[in-house]
Amino acid sequence: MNKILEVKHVSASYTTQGNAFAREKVQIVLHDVSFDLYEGEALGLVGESGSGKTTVARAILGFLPRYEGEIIHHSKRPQLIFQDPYTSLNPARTVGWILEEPLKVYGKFDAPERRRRIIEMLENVGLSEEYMSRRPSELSGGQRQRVSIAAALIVRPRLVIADEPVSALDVTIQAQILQLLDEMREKYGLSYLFISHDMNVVYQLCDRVIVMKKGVIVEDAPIDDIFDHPQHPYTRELVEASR
Amino acid sequence: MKKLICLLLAALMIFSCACGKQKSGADARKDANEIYVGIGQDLSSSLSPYQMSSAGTREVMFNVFEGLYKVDSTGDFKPALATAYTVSDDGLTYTFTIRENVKFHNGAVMTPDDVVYSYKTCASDSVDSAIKGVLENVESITAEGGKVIIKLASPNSDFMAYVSSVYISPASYTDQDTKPVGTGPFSFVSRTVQDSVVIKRFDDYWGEKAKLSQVTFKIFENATALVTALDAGSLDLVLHLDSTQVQGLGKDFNIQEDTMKLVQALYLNNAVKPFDDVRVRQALCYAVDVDALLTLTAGGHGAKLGTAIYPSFSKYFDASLVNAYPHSTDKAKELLTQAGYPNGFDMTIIAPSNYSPHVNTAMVLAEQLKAAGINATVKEVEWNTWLTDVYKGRKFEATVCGFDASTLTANALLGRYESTSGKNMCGYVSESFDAYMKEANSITDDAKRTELFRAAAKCLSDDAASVYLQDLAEFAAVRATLKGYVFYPLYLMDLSKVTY
Amino acid sequence: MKKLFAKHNNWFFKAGFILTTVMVFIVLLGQVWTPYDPNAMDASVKAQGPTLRHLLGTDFFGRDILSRILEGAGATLQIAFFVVLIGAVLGTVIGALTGYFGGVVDEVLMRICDAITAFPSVLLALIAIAVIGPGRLNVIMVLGCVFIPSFARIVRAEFVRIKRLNYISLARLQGVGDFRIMLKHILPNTLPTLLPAISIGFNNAVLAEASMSFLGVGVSASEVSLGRMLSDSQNYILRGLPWYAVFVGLTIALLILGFSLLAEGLQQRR
Repeated sequence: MNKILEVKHVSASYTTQGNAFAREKVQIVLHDVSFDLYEGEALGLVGESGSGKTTVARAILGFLPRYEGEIIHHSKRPQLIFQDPYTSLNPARTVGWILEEPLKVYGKFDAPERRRRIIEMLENVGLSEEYMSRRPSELSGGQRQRVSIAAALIVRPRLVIADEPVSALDVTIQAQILQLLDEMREKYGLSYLFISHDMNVVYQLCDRVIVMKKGVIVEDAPIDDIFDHPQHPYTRELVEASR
Repeated sequence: MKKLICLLLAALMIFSCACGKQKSGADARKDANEIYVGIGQDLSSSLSPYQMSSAGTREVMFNVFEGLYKVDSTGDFKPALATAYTVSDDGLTYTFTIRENVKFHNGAVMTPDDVVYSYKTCASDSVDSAIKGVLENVESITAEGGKVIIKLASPNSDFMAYVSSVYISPASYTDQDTKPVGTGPFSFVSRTVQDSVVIKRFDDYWGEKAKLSQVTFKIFENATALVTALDAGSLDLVLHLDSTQVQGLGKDFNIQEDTMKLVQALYLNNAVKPFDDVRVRQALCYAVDVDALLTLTAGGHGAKLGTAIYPSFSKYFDASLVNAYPHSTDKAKELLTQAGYPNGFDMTIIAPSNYSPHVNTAMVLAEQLKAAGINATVKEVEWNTWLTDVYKGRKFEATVCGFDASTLTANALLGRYESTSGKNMCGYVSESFDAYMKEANSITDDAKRTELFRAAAKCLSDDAASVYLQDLAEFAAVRATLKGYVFYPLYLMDLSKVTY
Repeated sequence: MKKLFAKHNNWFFKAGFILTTVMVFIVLLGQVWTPYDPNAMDASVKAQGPTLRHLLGTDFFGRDILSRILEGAGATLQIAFFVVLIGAVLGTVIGALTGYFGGVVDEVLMRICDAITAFPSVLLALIAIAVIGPGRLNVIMVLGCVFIPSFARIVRAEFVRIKRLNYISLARLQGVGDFRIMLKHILPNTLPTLLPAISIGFNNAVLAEASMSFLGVGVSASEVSLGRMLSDSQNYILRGLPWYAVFVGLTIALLILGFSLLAEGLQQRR
């Protein structure tokens, strides 16, 4: 299998500003993180908050201004799905506009083609054409997350990073969205880097899991191994908590 | 919402100010035999008799300073610090007999040496270029016994007009700037910059003593505030008001009508197109309706001119010139067509923004000129801008303003039209006018001189050097309980005869 | 418009909208038709109170006050419009650039804005007018510039807030350029804040014009504006002829009341 992403010895830290009462302090957030992601793979990145999992995603997407080490992309335009569907869609714009914008920027398609693709993508995520004229404020949380997925997928990325995409949703809606993500992976041959604190959610989607704690990878193994033979005590703890 | 409430409150305040009148102050002042006089501007920074640059300062200090002779309300020159004078037959030597036992406000007795000192100081220090120019013509000035002898280099038949403007101050007194000392009926007490000036009766005055014991001049640089204060009863006498300002003042005040003793005109720059064409200037004279102007701006008050002499200066005023250009839009259009402007033209009238009568006149003229097809825009400028750009720089097409006479001489009004004069703002050039003026100033025969000055004034009318409008009406509001206020033919305020 | 009404279905908005519309309509009407020529002088009807011939009376020159108010309000609104246009457009450009990019330029520009807003705006305008001279165009330019900082601040704050939101990060991931993000993604989201600011801007501009013309540094003598008329009308109050000031003051009050209500309504939702 081909690698789609290589993360090599990435470390990152930030310095707290010193003042009259506190000395400036170097806070290490990532320490020598390395992993590869393969084509068609759904890789779970698990850890509690503060474990550095979101920092990894930020580094991969280029949002982290400074880090050491190397990140090699073998695909163009990795896309991101946010946890909070309420802030990830532009409230001043319609769904149609939000989906058309990346196609316009991409610049290869004429208007009818753009429309065709939007409608196709809306149908893919289970929404009808009429949603094009709706604004985000008129949609439910689940519908919004579907639009977010559609917006991420409309530029046909090969890698999608999903940062807790379902944790803000009801349990039933969670299942639907996970189902949808799975279908999309199948349909477009996507690779996922799936960030979550919830082992159960990861179990439903991922092939492989990386467990992080305090900026360090403590375990990297196929999903079944993680659940059946967790090696690290921290992994064990997370698995126990999810049962 | 807060702003609205503020606005309403402000409106209420304006109303309550306008309606409520407090009278008690006036009665208190009557009991103390003093008055408050409202004036429209602060005095010059120096109060020295030789440094007073503004008419407003001269007007007030007239009560404090005196010359050898003094102008009276009829325009005659009366003996003051001199009891008599004689002129030699060649008109070159003036001999003044100095009045004895005249005391300065500081207690010193005036001597002929003080007179000599004053004339020499005035010749070197005076900021009034007209007086300075005349005194440069003085060859020698000497004190002999009780007399002062002044010798001129060439005869000057206007000399006595200047003698009344050279104020006598004690020799070697150095505090004139801040604590002026003169011989007048009132002595200077104090001055608060931007607020007030106080003078009091001088009990050792040589002549008829003043009736009031004290006069306070209150300074109001905002005309509206001045009228408000008058209305509210905190002032007893205000000069230089216009017809709208005295409307509705009520029976507490007597309104005395006068003119401002100035030549208000639509001054035209004869040096620029299209005003270099006499037909265009005459067309403007015909297009303007001075009677309607007076009705609109001053309820019909004011004196029409026709030339650069105001009517109360009757010696040189020619009443036949008033109607030289009777209002006629047809004539105006005809002349404009002849001059090559059948459809009129655009022009800008500049008016000094601090003189509302001139601004108002400019607005009415702009409206009147429309009928003749002339599209005039009024542009207001600051007084200092007017002085530098219009008066000195001559960068203008037309301007409305007024020129007064600094001394009671024909030269004060007509001299500015001589082609060589630095004051020739209009750029008027006429050989015959120059010739009349030159001849008039070279002879001493008064009747012949008068005739020549009148001929010169007629040149201005014939050539329509400018559109001469009016000597503005002005009004004095005098508290009804006060008596004895009289107008002067010059910009002066004599308070010595005012009494309750 | 329908959407605006749906979003701001409150009493302030309705009242402000109706009042402003009516006032603007009347003023626009005044630009094409007035009962009399606003500048025509008639000595026979000098300084009269309201009559059937002259509904709001006449001034000292016998000019019809109603006609002059109509014309003057037009001038005032025109000035206010351009002042707000200059202030809002330049303020938005500056606020957008500084808010989006930040950095040293942002620091410097915002300190300048702080310095400018530390002075009362009319005072600043007075100083500027003293330098470049009065006149309608100068008043527009000076007031427009004085109004820039307030708009710049508002827009900058919005850009700083919105640029951190997830949908902007996503747009960047999708390859949308900086200027397109500013124009198409952030700017529409500043409208809920910008619209009330513009309405308040109108309010302030009308007052500023009135104050400046009142102080004699506004429009020139041959022009009419509400401030100029209010200044003239002082003389009438003192002469026991208060209606002139009342009518002019009322016109100004109604105009700014309309804009204030509209701004209040735009800020409140439902």
